[in-house]
Amino acid sequence: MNGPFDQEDERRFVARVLDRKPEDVVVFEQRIRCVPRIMAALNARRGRPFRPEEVDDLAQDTMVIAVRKLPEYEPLAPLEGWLHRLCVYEFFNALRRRDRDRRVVSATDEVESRTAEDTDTAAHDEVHLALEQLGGLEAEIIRLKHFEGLTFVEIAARTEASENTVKTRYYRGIDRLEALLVRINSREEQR
Amino acid sequence: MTHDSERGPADDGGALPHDESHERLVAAVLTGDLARDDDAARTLQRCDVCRERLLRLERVTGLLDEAGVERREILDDAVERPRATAAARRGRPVLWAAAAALLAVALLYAPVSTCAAGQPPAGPNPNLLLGADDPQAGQVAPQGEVDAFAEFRWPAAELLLDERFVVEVFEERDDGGLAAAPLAVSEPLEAGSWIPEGEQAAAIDRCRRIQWKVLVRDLVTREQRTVFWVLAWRP
Repeated sequence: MNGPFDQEDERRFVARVLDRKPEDVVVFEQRIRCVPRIMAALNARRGRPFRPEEVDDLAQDTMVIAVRKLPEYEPLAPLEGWLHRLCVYEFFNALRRRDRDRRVVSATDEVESRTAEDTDTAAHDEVHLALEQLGGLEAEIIRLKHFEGLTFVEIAARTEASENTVKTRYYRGIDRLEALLVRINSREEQR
Repeated sequence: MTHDSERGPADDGGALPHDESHERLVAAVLTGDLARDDDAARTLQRCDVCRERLLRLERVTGLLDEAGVERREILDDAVERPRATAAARRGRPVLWAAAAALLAVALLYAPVSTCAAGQPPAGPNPNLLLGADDPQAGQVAPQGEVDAFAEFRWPAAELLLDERFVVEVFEERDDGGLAAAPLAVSEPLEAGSWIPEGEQAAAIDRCRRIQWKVLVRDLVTREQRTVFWVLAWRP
């Protein structure tokens, strides 16, 4: 991502893309090409649980989802950050589906299956799912703080709220996130 | 006055009973408004409930920071420097990423019948013209009088000895979804064109909108990768 992020510029750019302005569509097409690279990086960092063609399919599916959801994109952070979020969500969902299906096969056929332990899971993986479940402005503020590295003053400017309000939402969000993580981890342990 | 300890279990004599007013202090420590070595923050450590709670919340912020580091590393690489894939290092044209991206762009245009990104070809059936990474690759859609649904052409990328093209054609529904199974699949091809015949041709001809993709298949390993994906429709 080059140059400082300008919220209004990004908003206008996306509006022009949705309005099908040719020059902006071309730029969008170039920017969305980060999706296959993000997917490949996630796969490599997790010990390559998916074959290359599966990663390709995941990337294609995610790009289609990104285009369909583009009207929902709120430019609190650069487009690429939003695309990364979609990639992470789709990647870990696919991983869970794959592991769940293999557990079913293993239970019924007693076939040796590739389990979650074969994937190089990171301790912070579940935090992405928890953030999606948290949703709303609290999740956005947490992302701006920890993913974009913004201060509370900067977050307040971007979200057009007071600094105190942002801090209150942040604290509440972390508290709820903690409860969500406990629930997610206990569900994983029961499997 | 009892001497406070900074960390670890509170000594029996110094334990602080939990109070609702501690909530504000916990929030202040978490947001950085209160430094950990501040007297008020150190007082919290004497409350078993708050000490435990702060530990749990800071574990969450630690995980978020780790996730943030990974995200930055991935985005720095993905956005500013395209990663060289194994295929690219072997000199093969890496087209699928561009084609897949252009498919996504194509969805922005469906189902309009004019293409803002380029001129539709002359001919009875318009296509969304999808290009490729290589600007010399030319158009993938048929041109002139050729019926877009009766013949499929694409730039003939360089194939290795055991590689062939395979074309798969899918019907696109009105809601933009694709049928799970392809309508038609070509035999392995060496050249960059295919004319479906018989029942396959008839099935394709019944469709109003199709998506077709060109794969490169390795005849030995059976691995395959997508190199083009095109949206085509009848006006």
